Amino acid sequence: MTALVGDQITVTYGRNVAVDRVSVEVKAGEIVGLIGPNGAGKTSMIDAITGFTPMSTGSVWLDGVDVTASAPHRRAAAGLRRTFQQLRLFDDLTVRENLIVAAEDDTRFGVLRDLVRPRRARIVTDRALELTGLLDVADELPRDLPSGTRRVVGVARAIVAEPSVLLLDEPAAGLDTHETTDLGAMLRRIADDGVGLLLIEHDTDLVFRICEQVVAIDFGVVIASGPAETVRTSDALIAAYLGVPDDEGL
Amino acid sequence: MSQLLIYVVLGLGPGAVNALLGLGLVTIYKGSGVLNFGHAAVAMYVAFVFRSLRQSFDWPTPLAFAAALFVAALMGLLIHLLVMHPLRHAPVLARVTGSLGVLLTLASAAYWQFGSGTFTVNPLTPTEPLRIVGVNVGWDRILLFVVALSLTAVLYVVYQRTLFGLATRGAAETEKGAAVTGYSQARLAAINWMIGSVLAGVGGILISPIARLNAFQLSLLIAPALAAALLGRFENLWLVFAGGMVLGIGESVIGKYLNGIQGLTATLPFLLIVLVLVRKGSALPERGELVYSDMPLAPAVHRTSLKLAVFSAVSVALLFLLPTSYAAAYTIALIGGVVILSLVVIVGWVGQISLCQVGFAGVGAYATIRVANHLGVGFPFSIVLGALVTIPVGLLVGIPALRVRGVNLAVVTLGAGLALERMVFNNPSFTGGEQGSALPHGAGLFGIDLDGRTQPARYGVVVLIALCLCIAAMGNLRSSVTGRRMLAVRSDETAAAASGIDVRRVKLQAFGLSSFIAGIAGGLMAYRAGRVSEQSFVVFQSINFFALAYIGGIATIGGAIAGTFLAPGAPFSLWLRNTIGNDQLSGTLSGVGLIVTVITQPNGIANVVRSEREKRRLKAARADIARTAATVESDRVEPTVQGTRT
Repeated sequence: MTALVGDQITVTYGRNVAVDRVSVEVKAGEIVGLIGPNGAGKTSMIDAITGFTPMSTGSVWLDGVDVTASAPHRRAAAGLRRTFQQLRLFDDLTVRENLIVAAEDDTRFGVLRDLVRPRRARIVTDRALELTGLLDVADELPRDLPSGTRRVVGVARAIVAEPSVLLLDEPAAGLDTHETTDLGAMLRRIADDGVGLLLIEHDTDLVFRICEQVVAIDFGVVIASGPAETVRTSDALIAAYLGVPDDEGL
Repeated sequence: MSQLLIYVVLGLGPGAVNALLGLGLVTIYKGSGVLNFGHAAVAMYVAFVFRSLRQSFDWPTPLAFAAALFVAALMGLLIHLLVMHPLRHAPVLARVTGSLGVLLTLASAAYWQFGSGTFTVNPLTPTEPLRIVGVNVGWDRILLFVVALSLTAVLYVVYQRTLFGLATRGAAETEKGAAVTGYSQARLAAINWMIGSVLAGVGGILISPIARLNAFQLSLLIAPALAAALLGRFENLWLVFAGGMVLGIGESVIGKYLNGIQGLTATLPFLLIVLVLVRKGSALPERGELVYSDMPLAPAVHRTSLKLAVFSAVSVALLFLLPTSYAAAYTIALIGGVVILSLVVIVGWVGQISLCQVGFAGVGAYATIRVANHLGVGFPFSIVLGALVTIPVGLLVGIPALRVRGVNLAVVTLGAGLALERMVFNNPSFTGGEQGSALPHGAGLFGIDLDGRTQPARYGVVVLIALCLCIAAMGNLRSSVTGRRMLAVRSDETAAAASGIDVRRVKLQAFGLSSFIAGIAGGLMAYRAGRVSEQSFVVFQSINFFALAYIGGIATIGGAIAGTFLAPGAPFSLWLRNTIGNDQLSGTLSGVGLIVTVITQPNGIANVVRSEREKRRLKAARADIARTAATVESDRVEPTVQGTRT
C-alpha cells in the first residue's frame, strides 16, 4: 500500500524554482532515500510535503487521502510526521514530555477539563522510547543530552504517534560512524513496524545501505530515480556529485 | 478648506515628533537589534533635563539644548552598555523586558525627580505665527517639521553613503555582517544607540512646549513612534518620516472631524500597527542572530495543595493581625497576584508577550459593575460573569498573535492596552461615567458582610480564596497535556505544528484563559473599593505588572506570589510611603529590579531557590548520562549486526 504520494511538486521562492515537478512515492514499510547536493531542494521538498512551505503545483496524498490543502498540524495528526535538520526539540520539556505532546490528541475544550482535572499522559511513550533506546534518559531535558542522543529524541518524537509516514531531514548530520550505523538499524526497525520513511541524507553510504528506492535531485529536478542499486550507478548521479562524468563512481 | 488646512498644520508638530522618535527607533534597531520600548521615555527625560536647565538654572537656551542632548547621548550609551549589551544573546522576551525596565525606571525617576504634574515649557520660537496661504502656521510647527525633515535627510545620507552606515546595515543583516567591514559590533551598536537617543532627545525637547511635559504621557509617545517605524518597515527612513507625519496629521484631522468617536485619535496608531503587522506577518526584518540563553524556566508544579495551605494560613493570619491599612494593602497585593497569574499563562507558558493584561482587568471590572447594576447579578457571580465578558476581548487581542510573534506582538498588545484605555475606559458611554463606575452593593455572602471598604480583612479572605482557586487551576493546567502543549508552542511553533499541535488553538486558549483570569482580578478590584476609576487600568499598570511578574518568575506560579508584594499599593509601597513619604520609589525599584533580574536572574526570584536544587540535579544527570554512554558503548556491536541485515 502506498502511504505517501507527492505528485509533481513545485516550490518557488520568488523567481527561484527550488523544486521543479518532483514526485516521490513511499510505501508502508519502505525506506525511500532523497539525495542531492547542497541546495538541490531536498529540504524544500520535505517542507512542501508537510505543509510548511506552499507548493505552486502538485499534490500530496497520505494513505490515499488528498492532504494538499491541509495545515501542517492536520497533516501531522493524520499521520505525516517529520524531523528537522536543526532538531527543534522542545527544550523546556523532558524527553518523555517531548513525546507526550506529540502523541496526545488535541480537543477543542480539553483546556477546560485540564483546569479542573488535568488529563495525565496515557502511557504511550514507552514503546517509542524503547524502540529508540531512550528509556534511560526519558526524564532528562534534551539540552542536557549529547548531540547524537538529541537527534534520536527528534526521531522518537516523530514516531511516537505511530505515523504512517516519517520524513527525516538529515538525521545523520553530525553523527560519528558508530552512531550512524545505529541510526540506520533504528530506521530499519521503524520501517519494519510498517512506517513508510522518506530519508533525506548527505551520507550516501547510509542511504544506499538502507533504502529500497532512491530519488536523486539536483537544482530542483529529478536526475535519477528507482531502485537504490540502479540510482547508485547512474551517470546522472555521478555527474551531479562530481561535476563531470567520471568512471570512478561514488 | 482653510479649516482643514489649520488642522493639517496643527498636526505637523506631533507628526514631526513621531517621525523623529521613529527614526531613533530604527537607528537603534538597525544598530543593535533592540526594539527600545523606553525610547519615548528617553525623549521625555531629556526634555525634563532641558526644561530644568533652562527654566530652573537659567542656562541660555542653546547651551541647555546642547547639554540636554549630551545627556541624551550618554543615556543611550548607558542603556546600551548596562542593559542591552549584556542581553545581546538573550531571547526576545528578555530583551523586550529589559527595555520595559528602562521605560519604567526613567518614567518613575522623572516622576520623583522633576515632579508628578504636567509642566509647561517656555516656547522656543516666536509666538507670532507665520501666515502662509491664508493659514496661520506656528513657528514651533515649522521648526519641528524642518528639523525632522533635515535630520531624516542627514540620516539617509549617513546610512547610505558612509562606511559606518554600510557597516550598520550589514550588522542588521547578520551579526557577523559588520565584522566584514572592520567595525566591531559592540561599537556600532553603541554609536547607533547614542544617535538614536539624541534623535529622541531632539523630538522630546521640541514637542515639550506644544504638548507640555508629563512623565507618563510623554513616555507613551512610544506607540505612535513604533507605528511610524513599522510603516517604514524599520528600513526606509523616508517612509518612517512620511508615516510619522501621516499619523500626526491624521490624528489632528480626525480629532476635528470624527470627534464623536471617543479616543479614536489616540487609537489610530494602534489600528495602523495591527493592520501592518497582520498583513505582513512580521514588520520587523528578522536579524540573523544567535540566541544562547533560554526562556525562563517553567518548572513542573509539585505539592500545590500543601503550599497553598501554608500560604493561606499565613495570609489569613496577616489579614486579621495587621493594622487595617496594611490588611487593605495586603488585599491589593493578593489581587495583583491574580493579575500576575494571568501573565504567567500567556507570557510564561505560551511565550506570547502581552502588555495589556491590566486592560483586560479593566474590562472585567467594568463588566462586573454593569452586570451587577443592570442585570441585578450579585456577588460573586457578577465577578464570574464580568470575567466571562473579558474572554472575547482577550480573543480579539489574541487574533493578531496568530500571525505575529515575539516583539511584534509586544507592540500590538501595547497598542491594544492604549486603545482600551483611551477608547473604552475614558469613554463615559462605555463606562457609564461617574455613576456607572460604582457597584450597587458591597460583597456579601450568606448574610456575611464582606464589603471591601468596611471589612478589609474579610474581603482579603475572599480575594485569597479566589487567588487560591486560580492557582490550583493553573497548577492543574501545568501538569496536564494542555499545559505541556503550551510549553511546546513557546519553545518552537514549527516543531509544535509538526507534532500535530494546533498552534493557533493553543494560543487562543491561552489568551482566553489569561483574559478570564485578568477579568477576575478586575472584578475583585471593583468589589474591593466598591467602585473603579479608569486610572487603575492605564497601560502603564500593565507594564508594571509585567515587570513584577518577570521579577517574580514569569513562568512560575510561585513567581506570581513573589512578585505581587512589590505591586503598587501593596504593603511594600505602603511602607515606603509611611517611612520615606514617597511611594514612587517602588516604581523605580521595580524598573531597576526588572533590569537587574532580566540580566542576572532571568528565571525570576521563584527560581533562584530552585536553581540550587537544579544544579544538583544537573550534576546527577550528567553522571547518569556518562553511565548511559558507557552502557551504549558496550551494546554497540549488536545493533550494527541488525543494521546490515539487508
